[in-house]
Amino acid sequence: MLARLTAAEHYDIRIAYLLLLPSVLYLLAMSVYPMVFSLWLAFRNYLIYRPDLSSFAGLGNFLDLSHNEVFWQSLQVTLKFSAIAVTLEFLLGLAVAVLLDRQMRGMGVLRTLLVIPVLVSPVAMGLTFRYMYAPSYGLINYLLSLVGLPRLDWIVSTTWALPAVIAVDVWQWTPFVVLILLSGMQSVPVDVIEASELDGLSRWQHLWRIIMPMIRPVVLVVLLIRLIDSIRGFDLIYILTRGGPSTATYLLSIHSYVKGFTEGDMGSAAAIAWITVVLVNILAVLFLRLLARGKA
Amino acid sequence: MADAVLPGPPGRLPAAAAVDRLRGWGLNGVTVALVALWLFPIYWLIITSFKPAEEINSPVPLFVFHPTLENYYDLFARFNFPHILQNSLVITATTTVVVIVAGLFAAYALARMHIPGGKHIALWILSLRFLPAIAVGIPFYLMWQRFNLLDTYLGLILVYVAFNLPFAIWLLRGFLVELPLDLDEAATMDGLSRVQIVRRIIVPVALPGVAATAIFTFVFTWNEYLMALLLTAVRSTTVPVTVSKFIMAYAILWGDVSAAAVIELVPMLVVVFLLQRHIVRGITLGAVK
Repeated sequence: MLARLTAAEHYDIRIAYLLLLPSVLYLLAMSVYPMVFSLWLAFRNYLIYRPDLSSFAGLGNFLDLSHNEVFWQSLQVTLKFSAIAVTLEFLLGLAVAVLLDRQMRGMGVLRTLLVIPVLVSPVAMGLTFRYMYAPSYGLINYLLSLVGLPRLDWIVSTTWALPAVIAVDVWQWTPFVVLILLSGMQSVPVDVIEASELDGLSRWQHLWRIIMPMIRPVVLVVLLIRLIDSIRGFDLIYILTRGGPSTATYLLSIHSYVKGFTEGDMGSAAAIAWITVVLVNILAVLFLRLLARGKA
Repeated sequence: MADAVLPGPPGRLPAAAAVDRLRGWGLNGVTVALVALWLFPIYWLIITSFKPAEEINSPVPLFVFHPTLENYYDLFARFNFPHILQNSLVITATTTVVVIVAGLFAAYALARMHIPGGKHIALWILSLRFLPAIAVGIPFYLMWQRFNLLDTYLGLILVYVAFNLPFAIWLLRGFLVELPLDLDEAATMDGLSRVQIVRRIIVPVALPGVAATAIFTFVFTWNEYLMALLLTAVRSTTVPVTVSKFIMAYAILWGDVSAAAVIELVPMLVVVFLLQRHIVRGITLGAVK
């Protein structure tokens, strides 16, 4: 096929590559090189204060982790956090999207307002919720005490810290799910909606039998984005709890950060980070398969 | 609210129509209430920043309070905040400009020119958005230590450009694909080079999309926490890192914390109101295309 291109087209392809090249080269240098470097680190004993003593460790860092209970707890917390948070965000997001997918005066304004939580800095939001969770003067405990429930120190309790951080994550990210699902729903052709009205389907049947299958790709994509982003999450949880109490909210990213920058063990930190990368990749491949199957 | 509910199909009994209409109002009420509930924490943050200390720590949360600017005065007097704001602004603005310029040319080539393997390149670029920050943070820390780039503007900007370029290219590509193809053909006939086409034809036509992308880049860079925590210390530290350090202190100064968080929030709120429609499209386009 290339042979049949004219000289002008060949020239145009060269220009296209030239326009693309700076970005691609830069991204290669800034992603592939660090990732290879970090893989190299994962197979070494490397202390941040004594890089001169660094030595080859083989699978040592990974073996150490496999014997380390904290690592397994951290993996478990990460999976639990992602699974619960993303499920809640999806169900709640779907409900709100259905509510917003109607004719109403001021609907555009409501949709715009929903963008705000998505764009708020996790640091600012983490701090706000810490204030609202505070035991003696926090708003949430005050409201609970009004209905006779006990005041809790939410983010310091081993039982309640994880639900408390999940709640904040759900608060921040449900609007994102809403906006994406909504854009999917609004791309469903009007005659499909009218047809299901004529068939006398209830709203519920209409949603599950007609709309959901039609927006399946959008659903998968939003689930994938949220799963990956929650598995690699750091900011919000670190601000809220620093991973504590004990390992109650110790996400893999926080585990890696503490290993590397508090304990100075860069080898183990890189190993944990790479395990996270592999986890994210497995998920991505799984979802892309599902997407492809839907298209076939 | 008369137009809140579409009229029922003709021939419906008036009673059924009335029930429909009532249910519509009920759903509208629920919708508004939900959105209000969602925005409440931000409202609470903003009013907290204007409360005097004794009202902030009041066991009964106060909705009526005595507004004061003391938290803001305190913040600027005590924490060298103007300098930190300047750091954040310089780093964020530079990153945004570089990302948009480089991203526009790359997105243009991917969206509107014939590139063998272009689809694969586009997907590879998008996949970079999903790298865990900590996985690149560790090597960057060691690399920047060696190159003396720790705690410098340049060190952070180099990383932020790499972090934001993939999503920006993906978004811009989505916006550029939608433009009619004869735009470029006509311009080529007129003897414009590809670079001139991007500058003189594409940018003006795709301005809303370019602006939305710039805003996303700005907001993500402005909010970024982990890399700034790892790669800066004193001289080049940013607003989020500084704000987060307030809680390291023995007692949390909620007044200062909330004032700083509000300042962190302001650029974002301004931006949302300036470009509302395009932002909603940007968020959904980034995920759906």
